[in-house]
Amino acid sequence: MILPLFDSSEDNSSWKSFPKEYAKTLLEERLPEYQRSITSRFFEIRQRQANWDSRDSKKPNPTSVARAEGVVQDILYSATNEGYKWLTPFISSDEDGHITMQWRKGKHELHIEVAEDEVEYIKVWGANISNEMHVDSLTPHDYKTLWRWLLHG
Amino acid sequence: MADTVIANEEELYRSIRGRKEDGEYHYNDDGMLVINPDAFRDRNKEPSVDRAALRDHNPVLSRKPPTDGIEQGVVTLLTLNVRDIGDVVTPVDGGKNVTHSVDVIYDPLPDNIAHAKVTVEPEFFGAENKKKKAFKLLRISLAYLATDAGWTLEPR
Repeated sequence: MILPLFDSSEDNSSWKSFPKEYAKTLLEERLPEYQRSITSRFFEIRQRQANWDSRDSKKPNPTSVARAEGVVQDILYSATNEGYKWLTPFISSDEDGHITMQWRKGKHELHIEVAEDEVEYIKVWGANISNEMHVDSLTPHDYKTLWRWLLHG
Repeated sequence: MADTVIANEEELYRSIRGRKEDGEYHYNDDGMLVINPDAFRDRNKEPSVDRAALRDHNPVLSRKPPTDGIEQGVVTLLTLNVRDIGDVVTPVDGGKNVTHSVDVIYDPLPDNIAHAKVTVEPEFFGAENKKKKAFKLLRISLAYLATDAGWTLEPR
């Protein structure tokens, strides 16, 4: 069985096929590295205290942090398991202690905001709020679709 | 005396914190500069900018003081593009929405004659979390424009 491996090119037709064993090896080799990178970043976020940015931002909410780490690890697994390239997220916390994650690929941006009781995503493909953004609650059902969309930026 | 109405073709400068830990910008895996929404935070939800024309088109004059010895960066936005962000919608009680249009207005300060601010009309109102959500979309838009524009002055 051939497992397709999508590269990061904007050209839809340029995705490559690799033998399953090679793709699996690639996944096995790189996935732990990506997971460690995410874990490391969340460790840094957990160290933040109130007013960590000298702008009175709250200490990151521990529940939000744990939830966000779970979400991004799930997205990572979901994307790479399909053979898609992984893009490094920019992860931070906001003034309310919520966790923010964002990716930009070409003209496409994906923002995810994680609060204690809510996980929301914002797709952005331009600056016009009405016509070039979409906001919605995030569910695991959305991960692959959003990732494909992001890579087509 | 400066014109109080900002023309669409006017350029606007925004100073961006240069220290990476402040999270106002990053570089993605493709090496592309990405300005983050946090670069447009403002207590009053009205991000400040400088009218470039009133800074003699010298972005160095709009650069805020360094943090930990790292000089801030400066990005340039076009007034027309900011106004074209369009409407920010805030849901209100009863299932209705309020539409706020985005503008840039001149707001000279005693120590900064070039000062202007990005505003919405009507002002954001209602529960704080709703105001913040609406303002977050505006910040994302401004950051998107700044990303497309790139550095006018890089942090150093």
